[in-house]
Parts: sequence; structure tokens; C-alpha cells
Amino acid sequence: MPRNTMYEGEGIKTFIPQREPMLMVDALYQADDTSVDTGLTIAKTNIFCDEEGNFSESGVIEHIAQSAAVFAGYNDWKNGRPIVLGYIAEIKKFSLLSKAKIGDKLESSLKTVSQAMNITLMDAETKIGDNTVAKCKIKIFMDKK
Amino acid sequence: MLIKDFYKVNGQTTDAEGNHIFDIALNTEHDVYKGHFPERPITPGVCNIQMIKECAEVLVGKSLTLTQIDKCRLTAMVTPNGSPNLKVKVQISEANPLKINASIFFEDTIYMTLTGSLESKN
Repeated sequence: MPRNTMYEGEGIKTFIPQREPMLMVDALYQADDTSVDTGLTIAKTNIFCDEEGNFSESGVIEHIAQSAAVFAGYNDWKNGRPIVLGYIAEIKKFSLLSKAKIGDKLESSLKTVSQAMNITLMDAETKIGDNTVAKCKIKIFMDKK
Repeated sequence: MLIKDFYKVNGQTTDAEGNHIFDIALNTEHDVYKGHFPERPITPGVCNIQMIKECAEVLVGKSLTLTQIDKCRLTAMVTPNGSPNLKVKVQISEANPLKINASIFFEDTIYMTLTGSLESKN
């Protein structure tokens, strides 16, 4: 069943400062104060794909990190605050459970575990359909002035 | 190298404790910096993770997948202009999956520490 999409393609740029060739989210399905659901269709030109068309685990992690940035950016935007740069501070308990390749549609769900000042810790799971690709806990730092 | 021309390995040594140390020079003009970020080039953390994996691949002589990260901490920001030269320190076990303990540093600054597991690709 197709999911409702709040924003896709260029619309994502409203919420995060990353741009091509480093943009690793292309759909925002749902966001609220504590969670976000995002997507990425792996294009042939994606820089994290190898010559056999496999999407690397570093690409999966970047997609998760940018999903966390979309979460922060969406909530800043909704509250009239500027969009700031966000960085990965820590990754814990990352497991790669299956591989992704060109043409696959990644869907990620992230939930806030804790939030303090500029640091947000989120629980992340990335799937293709019903198949889990990766799970981790990610801490991002938002560079608020 | 997954991201073509992202960096260059200028040397490889082994220290007294048996750690493998790679001398890295970032390609400060790489296209990645056009998007990360347009007004402020910062080396993406995942590109540093990728670099660690690729150093491990050099050591074992085959393609690897980083299947687990127990913990990866980014302790300082890598920028192509501020830190174009880096050292990657790698310690790996013999078993499969390989256990890896790695860090990225230069002089007195530690940029990243990582512990995890790598598996050979079939």
C-alpha cells in the first residue's frame, strides 16, 4: 500500500542543509515531536553504491543520520526556527541485517530516546518492505547558535 | 575506494603495539563538499567510517562489510581545510567476523574512535 508522503524530492531541502551528491533522504512520510519516518530510493548515481550496485553500510548510516536531521529540522521549521547544521556525535549498537542495492526503497523510522540542549539520541530502524536492513542508536548534535 | 578519489593513502606503518597506521591525505576539492555543506565543507562522519573500513580491507586483502558497530564516537570535526592530513589507526583480530578497534587522529587531536565487526564478502 503506498504511504502518504508529507514531502518528497526537492521538498526535503526545506528541512536539512545537505545537498547533492550527499543528500540521502528523499521522502518525509511522518514527523511529530518525538518521531520521524523517512525514505530514500537508491538511485544509480548514488555515491555510496559500488560498481556492482550495492549500497554500502556507510550510505545506510548517512541515510539514518540525515533522517535524524530531518526530524530536528522539521520541528525547527514548524516552530519558526532556522535550520542548522547537524552532525553525528555517536553511533551505538549498529547492526547491518541485510543489504540494499540500486533501486531499493529504504524506509526508516526513528524515535527519540532522550533530548537535552543540542543533543538528540534516537532509536533507528531501516527497512526495505518488511525486511530490516539496519538498526542502531544514533546521537546527533545540532549546531544551534 | 567506494567514493572515488576521496582521499589518498601516503604511507602505512606498524607501531610498537602492533597497530597499523595509515597516513591519509583528503582530497579537499572533492564533490562531496559541494553538498556537505554548500557553505561550509565538513568531512561526513560516514566517510571517515568508510575510510576505516577501507584501511582494514587493505590489511586483510579482501572486501569487507561493516556488519556491526558497537560504538563509534565522533570527538572532533574533520574538515578538508582544517584537517587535510589524518592518521587512521587500526587493530583487527584474526577471527571471522573480524573485530576492529580503530581511531582517526592527527597530532594531539582524536577525531573518531570505532569498535565493531567486519565480515568478508562472499
